[in-house]
Amino acid sequence: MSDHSPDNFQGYAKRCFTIFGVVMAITLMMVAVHFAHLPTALGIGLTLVAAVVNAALVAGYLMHIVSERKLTIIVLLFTFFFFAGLFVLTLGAHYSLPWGTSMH
Amino acid sequence: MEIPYTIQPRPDTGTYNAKIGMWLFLASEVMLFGGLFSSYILLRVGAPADTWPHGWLNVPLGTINTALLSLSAITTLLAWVACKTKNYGRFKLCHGLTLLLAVTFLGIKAYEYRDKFLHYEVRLTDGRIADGHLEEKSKDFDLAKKTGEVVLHGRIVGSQAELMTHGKAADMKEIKVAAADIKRMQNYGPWHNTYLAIYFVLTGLHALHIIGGILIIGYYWGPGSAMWFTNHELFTNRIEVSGLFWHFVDLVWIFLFPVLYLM
Repeated sequence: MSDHSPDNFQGYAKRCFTIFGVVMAITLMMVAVHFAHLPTALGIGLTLVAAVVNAALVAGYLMHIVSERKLTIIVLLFTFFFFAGLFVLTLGAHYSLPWGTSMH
Repeated sequence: MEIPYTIQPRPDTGTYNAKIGMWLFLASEVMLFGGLFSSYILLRVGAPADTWPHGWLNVPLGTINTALLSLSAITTLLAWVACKTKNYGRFKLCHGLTLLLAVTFLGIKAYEYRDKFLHYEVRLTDGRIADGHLEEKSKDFDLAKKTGEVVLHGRIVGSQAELMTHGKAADMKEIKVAAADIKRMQNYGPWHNTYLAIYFVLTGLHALHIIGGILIIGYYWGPGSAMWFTNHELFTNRIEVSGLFWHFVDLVWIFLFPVLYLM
């Protein structure tokens, strides 16, 4: 039995709290970036990357996506495709300007 | 009639029905929140300069709520592990903690909502704006009849753009405003501006998911836990599926917090 198997409470709990610690450390880093008043683009970029890493940790390890069945992965890939499409189409429409014009 | 594959995995999907059903439900939830997040981004990038608020939300409270929800995601997972290891006491403890953390999260959110509903923007007849928390309304206060006065704890600014950044605590003072000097008065509810509208929609929908999760987890922690003794495997699967939902709620907050509070 692996130390990280759900059949071993202590080992599993240790792994869970390690992930919690990492998620909180990344969250505090995001808060530090907020109060550091970095240039807007850099601040938003760092914060979004940190949020994606946090989400990947929760989805991958706490929701067990890393060890999920193929069907679940396919469902999630389709979801991600359409989710990304929402943002690409929305922002694409916003920044789509006629030739010769520019954003205010 | 017995419903098949509630415990054993279906040969074609490789998992039991409730779990694949939950993943499909979560996929639809991703699209629901995705639509709202993309709306937020469209509103934000389309807002003219100096019209999008910064620092209106309480970052320390948001950080505490992130910690509470992340910790509750761990306790709900450990409740499932307690089911797998057949330790009833641990299951009760872990899911009890999940409920406690979830209720605390909602309590903090309610406090933040209350803060917004007590915060007023008061347009004065001389063109200035008084902005702050409502401390007191005189008994005879009537805006339509122009009688009485209100007391705010806040600041007076000269333009709308100045309101977009939160003032320093040192600049806040008690302000008495007579009804006769008020042109318009409105609190920071969802009707106040676009930012607050999308803030209340996103966090309100998230809070509804938290309430839904509390009801489900509360049921399996309380009366539903009788199934532990009658059909343990089915009970374990239900705890796993409800845990997936709870992790999704945590996942949504992981994006809500930086988007609304920090950016």
